Amino acid sequence: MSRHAATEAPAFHRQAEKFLIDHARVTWHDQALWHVRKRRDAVKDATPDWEDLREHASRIKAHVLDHLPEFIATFAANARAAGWSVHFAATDSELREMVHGLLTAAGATRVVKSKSMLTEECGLNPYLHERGIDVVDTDLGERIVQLRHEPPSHLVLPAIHLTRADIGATFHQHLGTPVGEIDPPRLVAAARADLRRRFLAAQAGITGVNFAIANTGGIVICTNEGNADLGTALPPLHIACMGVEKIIPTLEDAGVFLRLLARSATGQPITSFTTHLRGPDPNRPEHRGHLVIVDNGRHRLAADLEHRRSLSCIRCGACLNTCPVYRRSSGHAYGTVVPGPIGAVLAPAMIGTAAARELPFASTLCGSCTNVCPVKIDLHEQLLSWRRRLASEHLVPWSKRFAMRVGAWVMSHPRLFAAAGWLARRSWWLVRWRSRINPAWPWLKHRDLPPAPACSFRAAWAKRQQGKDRG
Amino acid sequence: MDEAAFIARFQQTERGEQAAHPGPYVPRQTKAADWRDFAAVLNTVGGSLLSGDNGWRTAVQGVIDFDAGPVIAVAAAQPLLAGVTGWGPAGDPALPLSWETVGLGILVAELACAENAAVLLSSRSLPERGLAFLAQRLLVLVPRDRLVADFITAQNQAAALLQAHSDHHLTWMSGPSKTADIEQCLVIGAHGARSLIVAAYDP
Repeated sequence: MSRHAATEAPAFHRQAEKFLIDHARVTWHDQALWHVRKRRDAVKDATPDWEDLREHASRIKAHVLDHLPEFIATFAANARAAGWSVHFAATDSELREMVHGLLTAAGATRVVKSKSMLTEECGLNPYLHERGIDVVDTDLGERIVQLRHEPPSHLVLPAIHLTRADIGATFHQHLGTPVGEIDPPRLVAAARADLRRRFLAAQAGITGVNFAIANTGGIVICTNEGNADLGTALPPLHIACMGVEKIIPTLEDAGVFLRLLARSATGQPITSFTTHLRGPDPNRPEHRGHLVIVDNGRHRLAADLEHRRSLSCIRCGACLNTCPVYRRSSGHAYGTVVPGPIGAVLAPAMIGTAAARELPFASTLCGSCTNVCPVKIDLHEQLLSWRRRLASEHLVPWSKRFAMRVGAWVMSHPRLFAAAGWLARRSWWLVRWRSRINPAWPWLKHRDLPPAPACSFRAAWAKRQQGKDRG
Repeated sequence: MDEAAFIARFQQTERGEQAAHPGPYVPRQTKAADWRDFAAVLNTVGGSLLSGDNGWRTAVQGVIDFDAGPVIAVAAAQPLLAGVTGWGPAGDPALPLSWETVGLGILVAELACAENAAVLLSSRSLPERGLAFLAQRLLVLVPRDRLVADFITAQNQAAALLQAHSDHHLTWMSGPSKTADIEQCLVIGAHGARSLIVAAYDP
């Protein structure tokens, strides 16, 4: 499914509603992600300088974002010195054409790819497939969703929305595993055998980038499976794709981020493989390395002082795992490449406020995302500020604007407010009865309204004060 | 798009706070490096530390004898394995596909970090990079005196190695290849090695 053409994300609430039909699956999804969140908490608690690390990482990112042009120039110069061929792509279509051109020039039609949210954002896979290039996703979760023609539903756990039975059925269809085989080790073994064959036959490897190191011109790639390492160590051509926000100043700085990344993502002390690569391998004379640096809307976010910080994201997924809305609606409901709180913050800048108008409201503003973010992005504040901007651009539904106006008017007139309260307490039974029969407000579809209080808060307060005076 | 035009897109009219770099991170802990800490973390990430009560060479010989093979050692490991039998040389780094059928790969790491049980492989110690990911099992030899307690210090040492030797690749390897992409069930051996044994050797 190509999503680069989709400028209008389908309504979040309708997509989430579809997911909510299967109650058992919602509960399972919710608990699976909460389990990951708890693993993150355990390693966070075992890291005494956790808050120092967050603060430090946040300040490094702020420094880079305030000096992006200088850092892009420094990184590009050092990357060339390290042996990379460096390319720049302003848009998603430029990236697609660039990568296709490089593969065509090398005569490569068999390509192994490791995880990259950027190429997902740019719709690279469908573009290459349409042009006869066989691109195989090699991260197991990515491979599963690729075989099912679905987009990933999470930043680091692409197939978290699927059960082992779903995956068993997919593997039976595509990899020939026995009917009803749902044992994870056996399913992994089947995928391993199939992908090993593809690694050995691949003519090119495409990877993403976790950190681009300005002072070394190298890139750091983190995986648990080792698929990015196989994909860059075997084929003669390596193409790495990165957004400009991946640049950090030094390899020493990477130490701070690496201590935070895997702990925040999955509760591991570090990913199994963390590889720093500088250009083509000098031990393999035929080896070529290309690096494509992409903008695709990031300059708009960089210029927006209110939301620039969201470019600090290191894509760990911690804000997804903790978000009560994400956990109960799944990543596909967001209709964007990056889901969850960070997705809802990035989307209005990346795909436009009109297309993303529902997403900043897909949050309870509880602030849990802000608390877990390893680079201290003030996610819930950003969501609120996007809501304000949506309201100023008249992108909030008329019903919500009308209700807010009425509310503001009533609350600023004390007598009117008291009268409205009196009326509400007397007619509340009617509202409750009506909402049970046909809940007009979606909030009430799975909830009941509480009974009305006997008297107003003011009356209760006055009574309490009287009691105190007498005592 | 050319570089100048690309960079011009990021020239900001509003300059923001102009945040300064916070400087080098100073780790808080001052704990001494201990191989027992390394071993404990390595166990949690699916690997194991070879105990060498009878000398590390004897222990390594035991691993090789137990392995179904073929056992291949990289160039950097070969002088260390003098007197140890049952292994062959890795051969030409320019031909990575030749390692497709390797059972046990023997590698040499530059240093190890106790905080996350990672060992550092470099272009210098491992020009045969593909072997580290194609072998079914791995045995990594680390100099006993090159253990670092915390990862900040370890990463600083890795950066210093890069400065000194301009390495093409540096890889921190913490345990064998793994995945939890099917219902969060941890499965060891997704693509690369299905097992990882680390042995501390006396240089």
